[in-house]
Amino acid sequence: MNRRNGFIAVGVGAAIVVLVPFLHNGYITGLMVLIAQNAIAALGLGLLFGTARVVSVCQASFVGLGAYAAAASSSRGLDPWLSIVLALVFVAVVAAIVGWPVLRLRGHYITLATLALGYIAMVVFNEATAFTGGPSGFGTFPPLHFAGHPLTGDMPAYILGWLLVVVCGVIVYVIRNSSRGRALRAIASSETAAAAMGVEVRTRKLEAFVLSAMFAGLSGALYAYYVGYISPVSFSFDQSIYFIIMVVLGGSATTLGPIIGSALYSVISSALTQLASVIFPLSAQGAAAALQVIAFGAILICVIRFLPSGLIPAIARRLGRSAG
Amino acid sequence: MLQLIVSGIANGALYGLVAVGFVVIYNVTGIINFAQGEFTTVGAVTAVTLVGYGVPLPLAVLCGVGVSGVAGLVLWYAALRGAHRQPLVVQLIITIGASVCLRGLALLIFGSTPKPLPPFSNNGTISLGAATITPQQLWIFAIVAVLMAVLFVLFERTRIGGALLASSINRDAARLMGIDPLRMSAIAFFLGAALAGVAGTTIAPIALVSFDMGGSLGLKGFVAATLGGIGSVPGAVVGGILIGVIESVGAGIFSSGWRDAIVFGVLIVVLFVRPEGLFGRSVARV
Repeated sequence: MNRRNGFIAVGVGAAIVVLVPFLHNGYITGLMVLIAQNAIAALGLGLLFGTARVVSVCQASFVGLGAYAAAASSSRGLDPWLSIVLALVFVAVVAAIVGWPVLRLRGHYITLATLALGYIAMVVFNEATAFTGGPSGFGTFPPLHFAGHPLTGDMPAYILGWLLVVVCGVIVYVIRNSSRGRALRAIASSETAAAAMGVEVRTRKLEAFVLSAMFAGLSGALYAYYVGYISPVSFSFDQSIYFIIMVVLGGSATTLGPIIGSALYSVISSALTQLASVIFPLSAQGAAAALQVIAFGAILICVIRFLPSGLIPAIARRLGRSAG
Repeated sequence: MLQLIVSGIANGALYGLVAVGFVVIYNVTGIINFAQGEFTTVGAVTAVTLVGYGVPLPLAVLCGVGVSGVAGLVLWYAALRGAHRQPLVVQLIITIGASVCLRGLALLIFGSTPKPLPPFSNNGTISLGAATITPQQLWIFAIVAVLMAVLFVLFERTRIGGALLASSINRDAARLMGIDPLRMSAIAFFLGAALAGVAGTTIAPIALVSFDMGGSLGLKGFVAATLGGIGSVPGAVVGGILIGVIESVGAGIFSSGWRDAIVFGVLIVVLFVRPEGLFGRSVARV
């Protein structure tokens, strides 16, 4: 995506985000809130994957960790805004502790280790009932507030979510174009060569991993206060894979990619739900859910196989060719 | 205690089988196969479904193993073969996508209710001092022992095994000797997936069969392979047995809900203390 296309994409995206609330369509607004919250976690993952080529399959666990940390501390009387800050610090500390041994590994092994982390997190969410409410979750925490008013409903979450997408997007953009970003890309092409050139491989990877986890935690905290109820199902392995799908769909080479990917994911997901209700009109939700899972697996394989730079860059290239 | 160790060894032997399949695929193709656990599901789900239609148990189990192997072939030919020149990360994501697809298919065909598979021979227990052994556990020991012997003969005494070994030691040199690495990769995927299928069908009478059983089974296979030193077949078996015992004893001491967390905690500790595993050669660290 060149600079001109990038500006156009940001402009179109900003226009959509500003105009959607005026549709007064509750369904679309709610969808856009989830797109914003997913985009924040996907931005972190996109930084990790797009620069260092590290595939982490426990992003949803960090989302869950942020959600539980924020909800558990505000249910114990801490101010919700402070709870979010506390949750971010907590997620960063956990990510640094688990990331240190894991990031010593290379490539594939990192991915499998993060899979193990995801399983451990799932066990903790289900078993540490004093903090998480166990398998059935919990919803006994106060909402966010502003000037004495509770911030409930779609619009506050919408504004807050998209503001934070912009903030996180700017952070990722700056990092990608800094010496840190170059160091991470050097690590991706050859760790040994990067180390020989004086890049502190493990520290750089750990920084990116921790930042990515913090974005996930922020996404989770926003989700918790928006939905008002959290349970382990929302932070499963499948959800981690969906974050990877968002990054791969939108393309990881640019900052915008994961945001666009998050939107594409939500659109495809609702289309699949519609389709499933046509194919299986009467019967089980199970079949519809299975269809969704199969379709996303197939989409992931096809996109990475045939359009490894993502859907949007491929379309942009085609447009550029036909125009030029 | 002895009881926990015995059942741990039995389960662990099967984790070892999953791990061996993992190692065979990795050695020959360089791909860490994320869908390895789902191949155990494919085998078990096929067997249970066939038994449900009245197919005799031994035939159903054989079919399960065969279908697993074929699923491995399909994964290789449909998705991975065309991508073998792509970066490893692309192949990794393809296997992730395949694992998701297979799990969805299992859910669609099998539903979300776990079902049992009957044991391979009649119930009743054999007491062995303080511990008792079920016939199914004896089956596990026998099957794993026989398979190990078969694998040994395959790799050491047959042309095709030699070709597999050659392409895992040095792919380019193997090609110069007239061995087609892509064909070897296909065989490795068939073999690796079939081994997972054996593990899935053999553990099915002990644990229930569900559409998502492969997730943790595959991951335990990976932990076993890492513990044994990735790339080592005997290491994978020993690693599997160790994992089984740790898991079983750990679940006996703590509560069984924490069972998986214990195993994967071991992985993190191993990665931290000795990333090359028990039997692996030292790898370059950064």
